[in-house]
Amino acid sequence: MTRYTYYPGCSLGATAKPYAASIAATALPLGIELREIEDWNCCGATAYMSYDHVEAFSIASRNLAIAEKTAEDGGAQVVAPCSACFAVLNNAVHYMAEDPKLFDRVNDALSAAGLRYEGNVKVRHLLDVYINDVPEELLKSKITKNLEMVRLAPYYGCQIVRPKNEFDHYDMPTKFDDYLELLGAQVVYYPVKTKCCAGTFITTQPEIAARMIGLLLKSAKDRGADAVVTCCPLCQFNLDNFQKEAGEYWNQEFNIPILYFTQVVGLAMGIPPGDLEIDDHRVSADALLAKIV
Amino acid sequence: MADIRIGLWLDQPDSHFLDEILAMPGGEAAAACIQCGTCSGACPTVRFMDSSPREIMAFVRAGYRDRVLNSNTIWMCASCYSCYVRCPKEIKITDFMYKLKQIAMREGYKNPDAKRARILSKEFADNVKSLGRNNEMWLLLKYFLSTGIFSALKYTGMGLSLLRTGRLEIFPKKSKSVSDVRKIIAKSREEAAMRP
Ligand code: SF4
Ligand code: SF4
Repeated sequence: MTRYTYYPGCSLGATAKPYAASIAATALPLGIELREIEDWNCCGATAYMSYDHVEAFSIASRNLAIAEKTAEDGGAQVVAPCSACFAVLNNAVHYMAEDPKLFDRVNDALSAAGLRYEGNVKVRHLLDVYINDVPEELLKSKITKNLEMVRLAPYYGCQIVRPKNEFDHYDMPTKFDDYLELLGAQVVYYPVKTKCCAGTFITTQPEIAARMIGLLLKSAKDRGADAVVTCCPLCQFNLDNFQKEAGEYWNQEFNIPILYFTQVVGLAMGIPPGDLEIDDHRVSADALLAKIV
Repeated sequence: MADIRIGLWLDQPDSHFLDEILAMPGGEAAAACIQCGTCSGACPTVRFMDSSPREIMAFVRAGYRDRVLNSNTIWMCASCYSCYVRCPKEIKITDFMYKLKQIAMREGYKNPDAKRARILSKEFADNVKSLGRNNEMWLLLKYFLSTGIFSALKYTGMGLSLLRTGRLEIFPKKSKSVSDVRKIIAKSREEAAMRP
């Protein structure tokens, strides 16, 4: 059992509840113990960065400071399931390490709340932990269902691999592809795997969002994918909820289920789809579920 | 820095603007831009921008404040970092876009394409400030109320489906962290006001 400091982020209690449910169902059996940061706050996301970068990093760093303080050995691995949270927290760590002035400014702001960040946190995405920290034999011993009839498109999104980080290549990553194969599914070639999901454009620029999301859905549809698999609440939300608009833009119909990777893990482990809250998504995954034996 | 004129613009170079950009972390890298256009080629939203990311870099270096801050480009940036990871000179273009958004917001530059993005950023920041966490339901509601776009109606189906499955919180949970966050923000603003 490996213990991690867990930063769930705002979406996991709301729009991304199925993600939270499928994490709860799969993490412990795979030896991943997630301990939520006590009384965490919003990471600030990209919207806050447009406001002021020192302020944005200061807010994000409150979480890092608490994680550091509560970690047993003074250094903490903070795990985030949301790619936007991951990118913001990871950027905060790296930018502060590179820029002593920023480091001091942030700590000055944190001191107002009696906190200090020493610079000993490593931020990781939950997908990274599932892929790299779970021994293959353990994972294989938990797989009870056969997914070989299921064709999946691995959608990394932009923020898990960018800015450049240790997880995988920034443009053409392959680890998620390999992981889905390891789970027993067929993986389709998905060249748009790191293209942007349109982020907050679904609210600010819906027409542009429809175009961008449509490109992602079309690529999956053209390659006969039964589902697109994501590792980010915002990607899941956009791709799941904007299929009608995307279809209108591209003059075709889209009806592709968008699953979280933890839901696919759960399905392979034989966990009932209801416990993974797969039926809570907008697009039904019934056709895919029928292919699992 | 030399003024690199790539056309007869009416804008007057503004060295104060240039200084502010160069002072941001990684800002001095702007001088290294070779105008190769890789950033524009990588950008998923370039077709909707009135100036491409490459052009923005050129205008920034030339100090063309109004042209840059009036552009819709900075608001069309989805912060996807495609340009950033590909730039052969390792220029952090996404950070430039953020910085330019900050200046444009602060100084009241109002590109019509920016309206909704500006409101979202502001509502988001307010949301975090008052709740410590971001509540998606309130954010959407306030966003639609303040933009008054009744394309909001288009979202009703989405909203209802999320409510039905319990995926929108109606009563925001107030994070205990809220007083901390407020203090941190206040202190950070105090410090920002003293920056040259
Ligand atoms: S990719 Fe980099 S060097 Fe090339 S034009 Fe863009 S900012 Fe300049
Ligand atoms: S970060 Fe912004 S400017 Fe750069 S490629 Fe993405 S959308 Fe375009």
